[in-house]
Amino acid sequence: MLRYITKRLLALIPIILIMSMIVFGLTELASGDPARILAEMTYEHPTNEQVEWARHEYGLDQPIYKQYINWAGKALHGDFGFSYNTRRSALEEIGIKLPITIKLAVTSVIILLVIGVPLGILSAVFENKWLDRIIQIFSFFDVSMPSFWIGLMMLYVFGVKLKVISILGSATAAAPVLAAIAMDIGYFGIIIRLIRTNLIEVLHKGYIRTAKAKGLSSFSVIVKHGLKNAILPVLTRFSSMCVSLLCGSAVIESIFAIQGVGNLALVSVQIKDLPVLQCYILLITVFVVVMNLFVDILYSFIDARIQIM
Amino acid sequence: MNHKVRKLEKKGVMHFRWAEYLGDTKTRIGFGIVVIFVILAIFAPMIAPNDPLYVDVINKLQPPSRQFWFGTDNMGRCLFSRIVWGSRYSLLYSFIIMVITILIGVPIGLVSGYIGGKIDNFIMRIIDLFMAMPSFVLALAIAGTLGPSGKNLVFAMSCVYWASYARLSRALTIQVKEQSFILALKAGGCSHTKILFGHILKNIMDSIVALATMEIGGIILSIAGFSFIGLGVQPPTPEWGIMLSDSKNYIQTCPRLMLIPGIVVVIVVMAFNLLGDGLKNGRYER
Repeated sequence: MLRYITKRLLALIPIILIMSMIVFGLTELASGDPARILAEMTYEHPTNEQVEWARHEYGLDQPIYKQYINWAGKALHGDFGFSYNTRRSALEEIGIKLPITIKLAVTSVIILLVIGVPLGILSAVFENKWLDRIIQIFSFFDVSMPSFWIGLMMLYVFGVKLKVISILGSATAAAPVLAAIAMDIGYFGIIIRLIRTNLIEVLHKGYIRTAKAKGLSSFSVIVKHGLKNAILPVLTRFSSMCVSLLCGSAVIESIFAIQGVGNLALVSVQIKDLPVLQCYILLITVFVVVMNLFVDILYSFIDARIQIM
Repeated sequence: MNHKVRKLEKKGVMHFRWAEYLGDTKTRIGFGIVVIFVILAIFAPMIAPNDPLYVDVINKLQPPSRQFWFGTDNMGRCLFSRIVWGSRYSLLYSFIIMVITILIGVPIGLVSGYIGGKIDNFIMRIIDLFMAMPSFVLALAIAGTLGPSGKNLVFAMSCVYWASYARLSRALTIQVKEQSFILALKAGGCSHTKILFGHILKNIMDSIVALATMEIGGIILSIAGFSFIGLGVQPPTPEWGIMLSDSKNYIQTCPRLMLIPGIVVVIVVMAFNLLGDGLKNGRYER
């Protein structure tokens, strides 16, 4: 087990290295002279000499591989440079907004579980009955809808018609909850279908009939014997859903005017704030890769059938 | 000899028959709606009653009338014409993304599954990495450096979506290559390239078509989403996501601007999902 984990951890290094090179390469591709932007931070209107001075000072006249090593060395210490916009450090900028996005993502994961899992179970238990039909229609509609449109509709219904939330910003407590529900659009359908197909497969197995014949209550049959065996395939998919909920919050954040990292990333694209953008992309990449590793390891703990290489 | 092999091949595999797939009513409805929108997209210049880009501020926010079937938007542009032209952009972009991802993903998956061993392992690792990457981050990176545009969005989304085709075609290739007709082909002296791209590809094609139909709805949603937040197609192009993003400021005064494009997107995506589900179920039932 320990060997497996070390091996996987070592395999992470080249992946993160390649991603950091790509992220660094983006600066080279981007239009505009970074030396001029840096010079403008010290001087209001830099002369050519001052631009050259900044170029030399920040090491932008060195060959590209040296620049990369410099940049990567600093990035390892959490120094991604300063935001062109606020002149705070890029990491700090993201650090301020991250809790808001995490809170939003956690809320939406909770709502997803509270609504999605019971519906999936009901749908499987009442297979092909009218309740199952209704839930299936709901999940079909759900995967066909753009979440940002549902967000707009909520803004219209709750902001304009019912006046529960302000349409300008997240001043009230209801707005983040609505945003979290809007973010879940598309995921409800996926999780309901996943649980339904897997649970139905399990419920048709022989040991379920045995458990029923033993006289166990139907609740304990479904949850203890059924769900326990159906949950594994759902788990892998669920982890990737959590990741995309955390990373894909930008659209909903912009609709409900929530000042999270997604919104920050969108703004930095518009004003070409590269240090913040680089920091954001690299952090997300590391997070995704580490999260995947974690899930794989967890998975091999839960399911002993997985061969450990 | 060739004739015999073909007979074997027909036994082991499935062939693509539209008539069988379209037996189901739901699938037929989906197919019908898709056809309608394809016609709208192709003949947009003839169908649209007005110029979708013609700004006429005096006639802004007009209610639906005989000239403007869905009314006009905040700049006095005909909403109906913009929707019709929007179907052209949405379908065209998603079709391009689909073709690119299939052209990249399927050959990689075929070769990887056919060769096997260490190379296969290595390619699988790369596929896993791309599958794990949220498409939003990649689109953000590309839009942030190359500038947001429709072309760069196609590029960014192709970078993400090829991986699922590679994974599917790899898994199918591994299944198909064990079947007896492949052995017969090998014994008959057929070259690897010919087996791979002539015979195996033919046998896994219908699964790939089904996956493509399933995914196209999601691609349309993503294109609209990216355009909505300004990372994709740029205004004033009549694209559904842009229309929705423009409508946000008129949510109090004119909710129609937000309702109509949204409903159209839902109808199109639903039609593609119905069709995709039908194709998938049809494949499993046989």
